[in-house]
Amino acid sequence: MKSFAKKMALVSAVCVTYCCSPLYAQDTIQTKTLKNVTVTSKAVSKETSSTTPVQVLDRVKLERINAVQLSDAVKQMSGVVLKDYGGVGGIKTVSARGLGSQFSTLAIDGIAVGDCQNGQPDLGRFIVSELDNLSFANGQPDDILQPARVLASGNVLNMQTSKPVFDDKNTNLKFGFEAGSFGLMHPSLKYEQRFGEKLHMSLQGTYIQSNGDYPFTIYYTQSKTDSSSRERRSHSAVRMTNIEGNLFYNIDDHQRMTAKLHYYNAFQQLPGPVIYYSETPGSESSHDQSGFLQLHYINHISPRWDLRVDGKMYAVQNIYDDSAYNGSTGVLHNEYRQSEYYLTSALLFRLNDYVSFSYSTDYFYNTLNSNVESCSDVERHSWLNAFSAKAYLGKVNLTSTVLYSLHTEAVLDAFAKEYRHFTPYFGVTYKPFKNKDLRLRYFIKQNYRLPNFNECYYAYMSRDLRPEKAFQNNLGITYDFRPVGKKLHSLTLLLDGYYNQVSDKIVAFPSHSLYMWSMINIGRVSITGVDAKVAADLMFSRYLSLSLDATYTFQQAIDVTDEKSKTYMHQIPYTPEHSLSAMAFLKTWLVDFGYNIIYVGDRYRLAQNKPETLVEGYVDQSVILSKEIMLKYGNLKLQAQVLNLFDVQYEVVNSYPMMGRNYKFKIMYDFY
Amino acid sequence: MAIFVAVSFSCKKEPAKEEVQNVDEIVEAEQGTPVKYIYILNEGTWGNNEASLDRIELATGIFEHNVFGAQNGRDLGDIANDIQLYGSKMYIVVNNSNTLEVVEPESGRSIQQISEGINQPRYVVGAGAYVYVSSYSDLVYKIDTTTFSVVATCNVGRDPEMMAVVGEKLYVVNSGGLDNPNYDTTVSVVDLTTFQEVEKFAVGTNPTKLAKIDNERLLVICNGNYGNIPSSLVVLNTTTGATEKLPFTCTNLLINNGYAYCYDFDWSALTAVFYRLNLTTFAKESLVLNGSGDIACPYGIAINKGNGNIYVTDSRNFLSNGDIYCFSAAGAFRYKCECGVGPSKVVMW
Repeated sequence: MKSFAKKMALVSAVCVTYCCSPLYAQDTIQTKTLKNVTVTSKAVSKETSSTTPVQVLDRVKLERINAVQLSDAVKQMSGVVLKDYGGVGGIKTVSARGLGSQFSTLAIDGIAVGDCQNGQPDLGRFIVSELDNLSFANGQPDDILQPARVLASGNVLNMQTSKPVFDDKNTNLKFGFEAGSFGLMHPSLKYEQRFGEKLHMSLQGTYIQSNGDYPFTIYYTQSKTDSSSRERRSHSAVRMTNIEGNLFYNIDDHQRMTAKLHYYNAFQQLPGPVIYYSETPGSESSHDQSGFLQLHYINHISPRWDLRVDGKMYAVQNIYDDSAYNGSTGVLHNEYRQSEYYLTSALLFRLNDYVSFSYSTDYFYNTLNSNVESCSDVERHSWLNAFSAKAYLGKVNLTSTVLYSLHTEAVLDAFAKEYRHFTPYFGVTYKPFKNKDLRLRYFIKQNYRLPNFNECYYAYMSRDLRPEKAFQNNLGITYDFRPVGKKLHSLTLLLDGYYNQVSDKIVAFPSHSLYMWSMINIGRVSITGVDAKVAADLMFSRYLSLSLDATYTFQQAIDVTDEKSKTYMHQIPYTPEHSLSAMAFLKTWLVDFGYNIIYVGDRYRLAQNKPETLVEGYVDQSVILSKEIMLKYGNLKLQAQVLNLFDVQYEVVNSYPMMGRNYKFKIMYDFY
Repeated sequence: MAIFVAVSFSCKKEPAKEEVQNVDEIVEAEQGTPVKYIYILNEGTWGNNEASLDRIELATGIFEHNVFGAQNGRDLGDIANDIQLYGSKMYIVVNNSNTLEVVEPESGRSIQQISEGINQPRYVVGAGAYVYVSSYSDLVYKIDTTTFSVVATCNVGRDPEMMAVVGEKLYVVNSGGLDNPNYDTTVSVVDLTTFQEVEKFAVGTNPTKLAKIDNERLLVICNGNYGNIPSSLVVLNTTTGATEKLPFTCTNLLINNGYAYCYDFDWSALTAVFYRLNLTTFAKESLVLNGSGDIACPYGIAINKGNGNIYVTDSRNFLSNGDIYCFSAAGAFRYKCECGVGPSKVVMW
C-alpha cells in the first residue's frame, strides 16, 4: 500500500544480485542469473537497539487497535499496570514495573505533562489517534538531547506529534465519525495546510460523548458464588473536547521551530463505586479544562553542536461538584487550579564519531490553589541539571547521565520545604555479532519522585513527607531478524529481566476516622519481573500480510517493609503476577481483520493477600474489521469493532465494573 | 515464551497460610461466662463493600470469619458502623449501603434488611418497642421493631453520631463532621414520648461518642478540630446542662461496673495508653494490658461481664486485616485472633 511504504523510514536500500553457481564442478545443473532484486529495510527499530527497554506503537499499530484515548494504547504494553475505573470517563492511570504511577512521566514531544496535585494526569484525556508514535521507555529514552525532566523519570510515556506530509497538494483534510454502544459519539477532524516550503500547519479536533449506561452483574459476596443481580451503570455520562493546533517552521537548513496550542474540556458525571444495596443516585461530577502552549526550537549548529530549547505554559482547572452532599451546605463545590511555566534547554557536543556529551537544564514553576478552606495555596520551583555522555565503541554502546535537582516548595502560611537530589543513570548495550542484530543490554538507575501536593498538603499532618526513591536494574536481550526474500518480513524478540526497589514509599492510612487520611513514608517494595515481547510481520503476497505482536509480563512486587507485619512478602495491591497482551492483524485484498486479546491475572485489592481480597483475573478480547475504498475525491475507510467479545464481566478496580460487550462503527474520509 | 504462557495459565498462587487456630487458648480463657458468641463487626474501607461480621464460639473456641455472608448468601455492604443487641435481636447499621440489618443472634441470619427511607445511618440504640438510628441527614429515625419500618424522624443537630437512652430521653452527639472545620459542639436531647428535640447542651468541639454514667450524667468524647482545638473528655449533667472537662483525653471508652475503661491514642507518636476512670471520684487508674504494645491502632474496646475479660480490637491502620486481643480482668494476655478490615465493635450474646 502506498501509505504503508511511506510510513517506513527508508534508511538503506540494498541491491542484491543473486547468482546461482554450481557447488560441484561436475554438476550438470545450468547456472541461472536472476534479475536484480531490491530489498528495502527500515532502520533497526529503537526497540531493539536502545539501552533501555522501549516499546513503540507507531501510527499503523495505533490505527489497527483503534486506539483513541491514551489508555487504549497503554493497555497493550508489557510491564505496565493500567488502573481503569471503567467507561470512557473513568480515571485511568498507569504504573510500570511496580514503581507506582507517580514514577511515570507523560510527555508530548519530550515535554513533560505534569500534574502536581495528583502526580499523574488522567490518561483518558489524551487522544492518540493522530500521533506519529507512542513510545514507552523504562528508565529513560536513549536520546541524550532531551530535557532534564525526562532524564529524571522512572519511565517515560511519550506522545510524538505527527508532522504533516503533503504529496503534491497544499491541503490535507480528513473527517471521521465514530458511533458506538451506550451513546458513544465521536466526530473528529484533521486539517493540514502548507504555506510554502517552510511553514506547515495542522489543526485537529476531537469530540467524544458517551452515556456510559452499560449493564453489569453485581455479586453480593466476595467469592461471587451466591446472590447476584443485574444492574445498569448510571450517572456516567461524559463529554470531552480536544482541540490542537501545530505550526511547523523550517527556518533554514539547520534550524527548526514548532509550536503547539492545545485545549481540553471535559465534563464527567462520576458514578462512584458500586455500593451494595444503596439506591442513592449519583450526585458527583467533575469539570476539567486545560490549555497549554508549547514551543520547540532545534538548531543543528554545526556537525559537532546541537542545541534545543523548549518552553511551555500550562493551566488546568478542575471543578468537583456534589449536588447531594450531607453537610449543611447541601452541596460541595471544590475548585482546583494548577499552572506551570517551564523552560528547558539542552546542548549536545560531538567530540568525535564515537563520543558525544550533552548538558541539559530545566526550570519549572508550579502553583496550585483551591477554594477549599483546608487546602492552602502551594508553589514549587524546580531546577534540574543533567550531564550526559554517550559512547559508540563498535560492539559496545554506553550511555550515562548524572542529574542534579533542586526543588523548593512554599505554602501560603509560610511553611517551606526544599529537596535536593543527585541521581545517576548508566546503560550499556553489547552487540556480539556484526551480522546479527542480537544485543545484550543492561541499565541501572536511581531516581526519586516528590510527594504530590495532595499527599503533602491536602492530607492530614503530612507536610514532612519525604520523596519516594526508586532503584532500577534491567538486564535484557534483543533480537531483530529481517530475512531477505522470505515470507517472514521481520521478527523481533525482546526479553528483559528486572529488579527494582522502592523505598520511603508513601502510604495512606486513616487517622482519626475513615474521613481523614494521613500519609507517611513507610513502605519498601522489592520488585522482580520479566517483560517479553515477540513481534512478527509476514508478507504472503502484495495483498496478503499478517502482523503479530505479543507481550508477556511477570511481576512479583512484594512488600518488604516490616517483617512482623501481616503484609510482609505479600504482593502489593492491584499488581497482577502474570499478564499478557497480543494483537494480530491480517490485511487482505478484500478486508482487513484485527484481533486483540488482553489477559490480566489475579490481583489483590489490599496489601494483605487473602481470598477475600482477591480481584479475579480476566480476559478481554476484541475484533476489528476495516475496509478502505478509493472514491473519486478521497479515500473512504469503514471500520467495525466489537470490544469485550465474550461479554466478560470484570473489574480492574474493585467495585468499578467494566463494560461488557460493546460495538463501535467508524467512517473516515481522507480527501486527496 | 510458550513455556511462560503455559505456566502462567496453570499457576494460581495461593496466599500464604495464616495463623493456626488457637481454639484451646480461647476455650480456656472464656471459662465462667454464659456468653455463647462474641461478635466482631468489621467496618471495612469506603467503596469496597468489605464490611463483615465475625464471631467466636466460646464453647469450642472456633473463630468464624464473615458469618453474615456465610449465613445469608450476601455480604453486609459498605462501612458497617454500629452493632447493638436489643430485645432478642441484633441490629447492624451499614452506613454507606444505607441499610439496617435485623439479625438473629443465634444463627447470624438476617431477618430483615431495612433500607426504605434510610439515608447515611450511623448508630443504633433501642428503647421500648423501637430502635433509633442516627443519620448524617441531621436526624434520628424511629423504627418499629415489629413492622421494621421507619415510623417517624426527628431533626437534631448536624451529623449526629452516637446515642444513649436515659429514662424517657434520648441523647445524641452532633459532630458536624461533614462541615469540617466548622464542627458542631452540642448534644441534642430528644423526648421519646413526643419524639421531638427538646433541648441542646453545649459540650465541646466535634463530639463523637457518649456513654451513660448514671441517670443524671453522661460522659462525652469530643475530638476537637484536629488543629488548634484539642480533643476533650467531658462529663455532662443532663439535669443542669453543666459540663465538666476532665483533665485527660480519651479516644474511646466503655462503661462497666462504675468504671470507664478508656484508651487514648496519640496520632503523632502512634502509641496508645490504656487507663480506667473511677466514675465516683474520677480518679485515673492505669490499666496494664500485657502485650497491648503490639496493638498498632486500637479501634474498639469491650468487656465480657461474665468473666471480666477485656477485649481490644486493632484496626492495624486499615492496611491489612485487624485483630482482636483478649486480656483477663487482671490484664494478662489471653489470646488474639485475626478479624476483617477495621474491627470496631464487639457485642456478646
